[in-house]
Amino acid sequence: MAGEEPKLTVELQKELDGLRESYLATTPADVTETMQRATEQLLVSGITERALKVGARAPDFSLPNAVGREIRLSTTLSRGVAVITFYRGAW
Amino acid sequence: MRAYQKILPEIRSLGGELLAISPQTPDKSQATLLKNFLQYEVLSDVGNVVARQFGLVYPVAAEMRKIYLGFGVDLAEYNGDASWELPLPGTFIVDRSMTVRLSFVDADYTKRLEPAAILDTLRTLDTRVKA
Repeated sequence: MAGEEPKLTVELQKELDGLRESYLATTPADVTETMQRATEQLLVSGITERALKVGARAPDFSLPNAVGREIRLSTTLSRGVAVITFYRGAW
Repeated sequence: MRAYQKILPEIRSLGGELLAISPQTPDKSQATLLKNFLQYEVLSDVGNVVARQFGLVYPVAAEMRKIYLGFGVDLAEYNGDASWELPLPGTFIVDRSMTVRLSFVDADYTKRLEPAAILDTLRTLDTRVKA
């Protein structure tokens, strides 16, 4: 199946690195220093070790979507595999 | 968010459904959805109840709260609670037996899972089903 690789144009990390560079160029140094320090504190806090790992059983959950309708994980899984992504918010 | 939108057709063709979860209220989720032309479910986890079960919740440091407020971001308003807690960005793939098959968490908010890695994992699962 040579030559049938999907043509993925998404290079997310590059986009983010670009955003970070322009962000660093336009943000006061004391703000970026504080943010960097907070990020480092999170990294050493060991929080990433507490997250669910491969092989763990996911909890079932039901949450409202953008129009207030409840979406349940187990119902979604009856149709396929679930890709679940947590984000902080779009401010 | 938009990066996931780009690979949504491929996720679906591999038998996957995408669920995005944030502590924002449904009103704010709707704004996110419309602003970014997203075609997947954006769920509201007010109080970070589900994020906590996935082990992702942390309190925003006091000095960071000032910075957020300086950006005009009042998390208490956006999230409908006064806890000033946030989830770490994280992505999981859960198979039909409720087992986690991919787990990616990063404390560095500028790093995200490359979407191609999601497709790679889905392909592995796809193969297993056919085998």
